[in-house]
Amino acid sequence: MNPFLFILYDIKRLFGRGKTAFIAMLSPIPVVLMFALFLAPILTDGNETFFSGAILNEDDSESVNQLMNIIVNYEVGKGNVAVYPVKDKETGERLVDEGKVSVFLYIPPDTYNDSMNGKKAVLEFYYSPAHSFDALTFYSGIKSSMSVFGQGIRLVNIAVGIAEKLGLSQEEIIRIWDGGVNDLQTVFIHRGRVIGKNGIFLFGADYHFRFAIALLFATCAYLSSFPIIYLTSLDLTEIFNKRSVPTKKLFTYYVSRIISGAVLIMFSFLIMFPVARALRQIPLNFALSVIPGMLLTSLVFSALAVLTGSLFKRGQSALWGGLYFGTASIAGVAFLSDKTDLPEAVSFLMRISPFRASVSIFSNAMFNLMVERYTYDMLILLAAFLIFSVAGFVMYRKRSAV
Amino acid sequence: MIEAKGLVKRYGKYTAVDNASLTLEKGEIVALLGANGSGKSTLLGMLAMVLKPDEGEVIVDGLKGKPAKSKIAYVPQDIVLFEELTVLENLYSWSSLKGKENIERAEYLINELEMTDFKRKRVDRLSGGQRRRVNLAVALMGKYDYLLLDEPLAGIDAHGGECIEHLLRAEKEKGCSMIVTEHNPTVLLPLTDRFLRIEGGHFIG
Ligand SMILES: Nc1ncnc2c1ncn2[C@@H]1O[C@H](COP(=O)(O)OP(=O)(O)OP(=O)(O)O)[C@@H](O)[C@H]1O
Ligand SMILES: [Mg+2]
Repeated sequence: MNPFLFILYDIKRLFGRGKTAFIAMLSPIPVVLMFALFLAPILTDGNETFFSGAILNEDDSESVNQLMNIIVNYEVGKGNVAVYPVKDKETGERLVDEGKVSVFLYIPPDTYNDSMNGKKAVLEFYYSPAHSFDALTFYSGIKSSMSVFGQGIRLVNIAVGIAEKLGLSQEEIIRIWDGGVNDLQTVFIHRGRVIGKNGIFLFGADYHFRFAIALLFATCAYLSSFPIIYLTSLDLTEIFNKRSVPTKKLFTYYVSRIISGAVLIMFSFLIMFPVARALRQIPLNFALSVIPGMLLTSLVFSALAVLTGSLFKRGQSALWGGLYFGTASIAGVAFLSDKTDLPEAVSFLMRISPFRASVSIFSNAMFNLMVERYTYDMLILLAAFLIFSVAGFVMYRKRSAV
Repeated sequence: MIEAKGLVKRYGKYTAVDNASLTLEKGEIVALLGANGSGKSTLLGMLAMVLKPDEGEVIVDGLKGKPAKSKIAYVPQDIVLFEELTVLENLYSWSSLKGKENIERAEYLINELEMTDFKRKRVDRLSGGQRRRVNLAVALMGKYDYLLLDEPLAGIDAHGGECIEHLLRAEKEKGCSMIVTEHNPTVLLPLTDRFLRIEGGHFIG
């Protein structure tokens, strides 16, 4: 028989098993609705721009100006923020009170000097309770940027100082300065990795809204794999251990199950996609970069579902197993992703977690794609797929007739 | 020839089949009789090699393991089918799972077992007797020299019994050997060469 027909039959079985497949495919909808009703308004505040902020910079040192320009311009350039410079603290606070901006950042005089002299620099920060979430994001972003960037600028300054002492030409010194600042920008974008703290998401580069949508995508995709778990477990206890099939054919059947499972998961992606688009104008190039990620995620979750189904003797237990594992993994991604002080083992698990990779791909692709990170996440997914499929088949074979 | 030597199957402390040995000659049809729970299905499962014996071994034409297994077709007592697929789809799937898809064979079995009326119906929407026929047909799709049938007549009406008898007679004429378990030996009596009785996991008589 045409292997394609095998897949077709298996899709028929997956979709035909009572209402399970149907329910699984519709499962994203309540989640999406809940998300749209409660979370999205808090996150987006109905604005197309993610948030707006006011800044008052009273430190007149060249370095802070430059630093603020680079950080702020970087965010403004991406279209994530609108930033208004204000004349005094009162104006800034008033804008926050009137709800015109989400946050107001005040940089006191001598911030730069203080920090260069080893004193603690204090930035003041105002926000209205309604925008606490945005504010938190902004604050963490700025804070970590300041610390990394500040250190960097300091090093560049030292280099320039050495250059001056060595008597290099003005041109040469400007070249060193520009080069140093450019490198810093790159470092800034990838700072999580560079400073050796394994923060999983790059704060300030991924905002919570995108992260939440991405998490939602991955969660729904995982949920829709439940019929695969159930049917696989049932197949092994009720069919393949009572009628024996040669290993080669069993493998063909196994592969078509993974493929048809991936098709089922892709379906639920297709349902979610317009929803995500409606919630927020996601550009088309997002679709182009995210589709390979979706495909690979579907394959990974499908293989994982088949593996889970093969591990448990009873369909019900397999479903519970899948639920526990999924909840733990998703909770891990949801709550640990932005932590930079995780124990090494947890941090490692997070880095290789296919859930994390999948969420990261969506989050990344919804924003201006960082190719390096995209590639890394895709490789993680690919590795997960290979591991799950091999382990799955070993179990699958073991469970089928002796 | 199927040779079973000292087969033992235990479920916990309970011994379902206890040191059973038998030989099935080429072309021979054996009826395996016994009360409910006497160990017929357990024995047949071990002969078909879908159930691992705790002790003993099964040798088919001098072969063991996979090559031996591929010579045997097995009809389980439970209905084992892809419930969400139609009768035809089941026949095609199982023939591919066992070797090559064989449309003529499927047509032949549909005619012999009078399944034409419901061949495009989903298995989970069939009646008990109809399902029993499909359960038999699926096993007969591949290639085999030995046929192990576990209660192929359960829930089958009188006419259905005649169809099955006719079909199995044709198989016997092709040289196929069989072991059949059943509670009402009259239907297949004309085909049966030998009776085996089992009680509490032991052969008797
Ligand atoms: N999976 C199992 N776990 C525990 N006990 C089992 C299992 N399968 C069968 N048994 C026991 O083994 C004994 C033999 O069962 P078996 O199914 O072989 O009987 P049988 O002769 O086929 O009966 P029937 O005529 O009802 O089909 C029974 O007492 C049964 O309770
Ligand atoms: Mg029985």
